[in-house]
Amino acid sequence: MRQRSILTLVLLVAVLIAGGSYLSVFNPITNHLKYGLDLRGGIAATYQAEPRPGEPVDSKTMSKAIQILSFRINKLGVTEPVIQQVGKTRISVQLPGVKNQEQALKFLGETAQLEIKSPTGQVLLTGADLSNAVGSIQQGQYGVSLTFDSKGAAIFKAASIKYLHQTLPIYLNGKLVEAPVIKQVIAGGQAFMSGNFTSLKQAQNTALLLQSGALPVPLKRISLVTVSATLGHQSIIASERAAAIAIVLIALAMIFWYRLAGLLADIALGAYAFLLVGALWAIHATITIPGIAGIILSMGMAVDANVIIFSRVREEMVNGKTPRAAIEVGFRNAIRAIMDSNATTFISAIILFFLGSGDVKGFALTLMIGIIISLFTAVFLTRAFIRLAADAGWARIRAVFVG
Amino acid sequence: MSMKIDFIKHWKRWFILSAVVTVIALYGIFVRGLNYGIDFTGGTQMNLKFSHTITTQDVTRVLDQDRLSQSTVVMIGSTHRQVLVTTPTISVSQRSHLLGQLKTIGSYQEISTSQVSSIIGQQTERTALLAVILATVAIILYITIRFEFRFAVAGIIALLLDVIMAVGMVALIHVVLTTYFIMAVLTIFGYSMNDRIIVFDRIRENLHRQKKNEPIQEVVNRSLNQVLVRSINTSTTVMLALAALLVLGGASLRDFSLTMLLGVFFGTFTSLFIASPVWLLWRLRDDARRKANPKPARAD
Repeated sequence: MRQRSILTLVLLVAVLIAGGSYLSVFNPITNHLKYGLDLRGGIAATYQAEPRPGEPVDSKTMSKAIQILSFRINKLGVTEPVIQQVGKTRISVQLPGVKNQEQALKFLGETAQLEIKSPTGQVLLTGADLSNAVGSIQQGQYGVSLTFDSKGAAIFKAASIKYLHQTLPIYLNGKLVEAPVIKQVIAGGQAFMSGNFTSLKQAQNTALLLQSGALPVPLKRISLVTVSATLGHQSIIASERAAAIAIVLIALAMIFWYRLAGLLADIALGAYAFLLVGALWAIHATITIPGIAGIILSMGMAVDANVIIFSRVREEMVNGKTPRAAIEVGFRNAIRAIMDSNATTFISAIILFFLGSGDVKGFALTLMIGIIISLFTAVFLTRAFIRLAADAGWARIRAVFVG
Repeated sequence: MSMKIDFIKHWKRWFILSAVVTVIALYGIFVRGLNYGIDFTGGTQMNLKFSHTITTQDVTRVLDQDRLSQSTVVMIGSTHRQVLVTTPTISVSQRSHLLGQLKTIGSYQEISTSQVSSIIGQQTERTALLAVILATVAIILYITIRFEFRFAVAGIIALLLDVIMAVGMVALIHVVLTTYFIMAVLTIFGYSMNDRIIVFDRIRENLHRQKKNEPIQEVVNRSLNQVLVRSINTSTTVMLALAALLVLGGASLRDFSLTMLLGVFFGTFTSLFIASPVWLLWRLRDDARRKANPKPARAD
């Protein structure tokens, strides 16, 4: 009995330490997490649809706008962008790891409204009639090669017959770009627009904007956060350091107060940390700065259950119970208090989760998961440890608690 | 090992102390005012790192040219190369114009930007208020179901004092507030109730074992002394975690860590010295009334 208990305890601790060191040194779990853009660098923006009078915004307009934004973002080559509707008329866009942030922002918010008008100013063709647009160089000039779809090509052909030897002005966003003279009938549905582009890149951008189509509703940017990769990196280092120092301080405090029991609680706390981070990894949570704050804070809270239990066990021992009985009674009495006291924190976290915005949600989620996991590690894991230690007759367990 | 502090006898002393701290806190909130950041007021904040040393006047001059004289410019660090520029709400084109003009001072790297329109700011405040009301109602309900209504109200009174004290100190220290400040206040709402519940749980348990002729004051006092060590130890571990976050966690969470730290501190204080006496005084009044009325109309 006694030897078996010692063996089980040593084995359990060894397995936990081996697992912990594998996940922190050899294959750090932190390498597998998805970091938010406050830690990776990138752009987060919120756009509000500002409907034109008489054109109400409905869910169809919004999904069209999201589709267009997604197309543009894909062309930027951003990996793992998040584009989602927030509320009824807002779209939030998150672009982690974007290098040229200014240019990306310009590209997102811009519209390219193409119009080809008749000499009398009547609109003949718009960007909606295009099947393709490509930035190119023709006769040493930067420009955009336009290809119309079959309907557009037919209109274009008819117009080139009707207005032969006249000008067909091209407008981009309401501004006259050029007014070429139609010298011959154009049948293939092809045209070349030479704006005043100063680089091929600029022409290509305009071409992409034309390809993505015009936004069905003007979008106003109502919030913007940009974080450079350098700052993100600094934040990761700062949070890691804060987390490490917090763990060490808490662990030392527990050992100082509760000696061997404190040490066992510290091992349970280590298991807690890995389980929490593992759970965040498993649900593909995005780790942000507030999320890390949630992790660090919850570690301070996680030992609370152990503090309640140990104080209780100590009390029962002082009242004259045998170690084994005191441990059983202490745990049993403490669990109700632990459940009740965690419930209110959990309630606040739920409210934060449903009312908060993106990164506040992350904090709330971390807190909720943390509370549940800490109930497991602080109650069941530590109880297993302490029971084994008591069975092993180790270290005059009474002295451990009573001090 | 067994400390004996008489929490109950000197309840007037503790109430006066709390009243004084609360008055100072209210002075902080209403006279000095909270230092709302752009998350609440709307505006743009840019963190720029120049390639050579600059002065704040250089930046202010550019801002004045762009008619943004209500802006603030703060140097970050001691290198005289990094500044934090906060402007009122500006449009997209105004921002790019400003960024272009700033290049005349010298080349720079944009470390971070955040831009919030005032619509969002107003919404943040409204959502926060809603969250606080919801949390209060939910917590009162929970404690009433699990304990009794008197505990719930005593707990909420202590909680509100805790939040006022913490927010008041934050106002006095004048940290710039972000949305994380609201996150902290709401976490305090849930977390600082923790302590009170442990205390109430113990009072409830001891009431079941109340000896004949043992005054109720004695039961409360014993309960408080029994949970005292636990309260101090738990608050200490949470405050250690928050202190590490405050000192090492970087600037973006400073308001959060500070508010939480103060909230946990005052939370522990109000749990021990406010919540239980309030409950006790109320309970004693109810008991006296019942004694005066031999046939109690309502069962408790």
